[in-house]
Amino acid sequence: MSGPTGVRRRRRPGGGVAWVLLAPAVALVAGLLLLPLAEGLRLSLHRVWLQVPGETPFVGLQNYLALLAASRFWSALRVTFLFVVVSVGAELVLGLALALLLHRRFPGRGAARVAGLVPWALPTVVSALMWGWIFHDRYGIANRLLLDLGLLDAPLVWLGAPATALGAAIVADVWKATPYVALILLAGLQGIGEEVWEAARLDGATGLSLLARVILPLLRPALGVALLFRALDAFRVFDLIYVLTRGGPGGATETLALLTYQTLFQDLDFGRGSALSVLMFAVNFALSLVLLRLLFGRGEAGRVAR
Amino acid sequence: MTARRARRWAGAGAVLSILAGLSAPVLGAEITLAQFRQRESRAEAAVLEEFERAHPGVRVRQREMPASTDVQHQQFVTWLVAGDPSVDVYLIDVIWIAEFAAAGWTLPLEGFLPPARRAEFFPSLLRAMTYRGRLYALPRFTENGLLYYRKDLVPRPPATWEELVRVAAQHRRPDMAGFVFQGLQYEGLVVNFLEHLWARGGGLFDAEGRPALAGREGVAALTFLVDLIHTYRISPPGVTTYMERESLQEFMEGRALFHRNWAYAWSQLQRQDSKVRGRVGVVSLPGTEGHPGAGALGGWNLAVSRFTRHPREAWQLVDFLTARGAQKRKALEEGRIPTLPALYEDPQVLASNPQFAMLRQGIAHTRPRPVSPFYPRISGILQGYLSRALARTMTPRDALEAAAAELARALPRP
Repeated sequence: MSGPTGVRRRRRPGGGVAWVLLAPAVALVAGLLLLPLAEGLRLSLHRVWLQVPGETPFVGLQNYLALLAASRFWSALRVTFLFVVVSVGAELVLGLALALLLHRRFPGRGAARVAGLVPWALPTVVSALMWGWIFHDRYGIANRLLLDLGLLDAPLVWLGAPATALGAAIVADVWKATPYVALILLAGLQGIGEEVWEAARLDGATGLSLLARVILPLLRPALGVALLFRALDAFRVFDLIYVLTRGGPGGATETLALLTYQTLFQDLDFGRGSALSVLMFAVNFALSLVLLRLLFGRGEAGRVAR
Repeated sequence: MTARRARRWAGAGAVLSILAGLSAPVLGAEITLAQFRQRESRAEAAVLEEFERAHPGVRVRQREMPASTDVQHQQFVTWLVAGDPSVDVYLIDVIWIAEFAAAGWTLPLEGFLPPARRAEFFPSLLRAMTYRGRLYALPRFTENGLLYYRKDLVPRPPATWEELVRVAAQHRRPDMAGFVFQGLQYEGLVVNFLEHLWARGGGLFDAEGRPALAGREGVAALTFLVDLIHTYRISPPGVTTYMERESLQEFMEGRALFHRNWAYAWSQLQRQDSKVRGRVGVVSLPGTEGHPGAGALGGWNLAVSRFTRHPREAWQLVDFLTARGAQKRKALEEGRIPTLPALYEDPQVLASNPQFAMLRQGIAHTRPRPVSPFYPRISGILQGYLSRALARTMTPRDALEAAAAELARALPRP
């Protein structure tokens, strides 16, 4: 059936047909991804104050330079990175523990797996409101619990003090996203064949050595996916913090996404806001490249990025 | 042949155009009003139906917005930047009027507004709606900052902030704060600061439009706010997480002696579930020695979109909703605070809202926040620095100087 023509066709897919078939995908990517990006880049090089219509002079890199000179930008960058590193780190550790637990056979496992997902299924705004009450200085159970345990002498204003507000937000994020990480890792665990467990058992691997030498290396792809998704997601955290603290007190929880929102939709400074978005994109892009390379090595990172 | 056909077409055209002319008032226009969800939605529906009866052929559709002011601002900006004609009338916060006007998103209204109608409103309100000499909105409900107090515990309300601190200190009780206000990092904190600034005779900007907040009065005002929490200790530390809802909750639960809030809080305090019902007094905000107090002007106002396809009908809706009949109904059924002095003499309105007699004076003394297209930007900068002072990561003077410097950079030269 496969004559020489068929082979040739397979080797050199006809240019015309291929392009036609590719066109919708290319158009979609260009329309939904590249055009907005290009428009953002264009806006970021202009002064665009919506309050001053019809006057949008080209200002070169001025928006970027102003941002890099502003302590508010660096503070937001620092807060964002702190949030990403601490919350995603905690989510991976706790998510792994939860996944290992849910992987074991025990009565009611199905129900436990579903129940574990509830925090992830709740809308962020709802869980943020809930955590706002938990951390309330007078009515919150966080203070009650810690006071009863004798860990605190006086109630804390968790969300109203710079030292604790970001920590409280991180706790709320970890609570919400851990089940998601656990779900990905659980899928990874289930992908490890029965014969691997058996072989490990025969070789005498138990407990920590089993975890460190068998499970973790085999779980690496799943861990990588979880880390990547969560890091990119946490990097643009907005709703949780907006509901809990609005970026306060004194900017102590202002992330890049909150600053961008303020610049675009409160200040109506679309030039500066676009510059912020472009910078966020660049940082996020670099972050994902670094993570991919760390996780999968040079070749894989290149392949995924390409 | 062709001539006859041409005549026939012309005839048909004439008939059609007559029909079209006739049908315009019959088919009419549909006006979309974007506003936050009204407290008594049935009362609102009745008001809008009344408008439709008075204007045959004009129908009104409501587009209900979420309660969050920031979300409304973002949504309105998104529609207006896109020139969306699907909303004709917007109910907007007083602090957006200049911004929307400067951006060219709203129509000036003085061409529609007869002088006799203009004279019905409090002049102080219309001034806050005027940008570069033109009027861009009409006030539907007004609000101003007021001092609520427990009249069962404090027989005579304080006239100055110093007196308030003294009285609160005398009434110190473990289960009751002296004074609650809005201290979260958001617009409400700026409002509270401005009221203390004005009570000391200060202002955000000097006569030339340069930032003047780091002057003597500004430092004194912000120091006072910090001292309320940390030195006099009459405001609870949790006040730095309060918006209006939270501070009102504390006061409503009987956990505060004094409370700063907007005028709408009165009707909330009279609800059945309010623990302080019947034990609350309300007065204008205190001043300081030699300076009268001033509450900030708030409230919601109707503006006509520049992108409306029905400017005349849109104006008719604005006119109707701000006129005496509709405002009276909203005052009676929802406790909304009217923008027409005449309604403060209406026996029916006063009978259901006895606090209006006092409010009327307050509205005369109320002060608008800077009427600037850049107000949200000004506020955003202030919010961060005021909050730093309250959290004591900066001294009041340093915070205000940094805010002044940043304002000078962020605003166009005056």
